[in-house]
Amino acid sequence: MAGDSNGVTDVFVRDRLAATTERVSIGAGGQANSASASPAISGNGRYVAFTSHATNLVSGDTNGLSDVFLHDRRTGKTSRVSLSNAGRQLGGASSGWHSYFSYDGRYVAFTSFADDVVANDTNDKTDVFVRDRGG
Amino acid sequence: MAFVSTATNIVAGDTNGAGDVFVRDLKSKTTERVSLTTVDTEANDASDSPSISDNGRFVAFGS
Repeated sequence: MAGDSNGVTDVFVRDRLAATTERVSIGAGGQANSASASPAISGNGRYVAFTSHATNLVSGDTNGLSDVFLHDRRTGKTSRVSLSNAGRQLGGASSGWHSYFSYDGRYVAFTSFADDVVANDTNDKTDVFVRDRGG
Repeated sequence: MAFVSTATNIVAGDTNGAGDVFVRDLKSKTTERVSLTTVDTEANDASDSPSISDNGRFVAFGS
C-alpha cells in the first residue's frame, strides 16, 4: 500500500463492495512505529480493534507494552481500549486476540495480564475484560 | 466466511507466494481474495487473521 513504510505488520480493512482497502493501524501522528495484529471488526463494520506494540497511536502511551486499540473508520480516529476503570494505561500487556465486539462497537472484550484494570485482580493471571465505550 | 490460505489455485493470478485472506460466499458458492491493495493488486507479503463484519461487506486482516 502507498505510504506503508514502517516495515512491520499492519491491520487493513477490505471493503468488498467498494473494492477498496484502507489501513486502520494508524494514529493521529501517522503510521504505527511497531507491529499491529489480531484485528476484530464490529458487526456493523465501523470499528476495528487490534493489538499493537506501537507507542505513537495515541498520546501518553508510555507503558512499553502491547495494548488494544480501536479505530473508528467513520471519524478516522484511533483510541486505546485497554485502560483501567480509572482511565489510566495498564501495567501489563493486553491483547485483542479473539477480541469480541457488540454489533455497534460499544462493548469490546479483550484479554490482559495487567492487574490494574479493575480492583482486586490478584490471581496473577491473564484475565478477560469488557470495556464499555459508552453509548 | 473468511479464511487464510497459502494455496495458489483458489483464485487466478495468485502469484505472491504468500498466505492470503479469502472470503467464501456460501450462497453463491464463490471465493474471492480480499488481501488486496487499494489498487486491487495482490499484497507483497503474507496476510492473516481475518475478521468479517456481520453483513460480510468489510473484512479486517493483518499483513
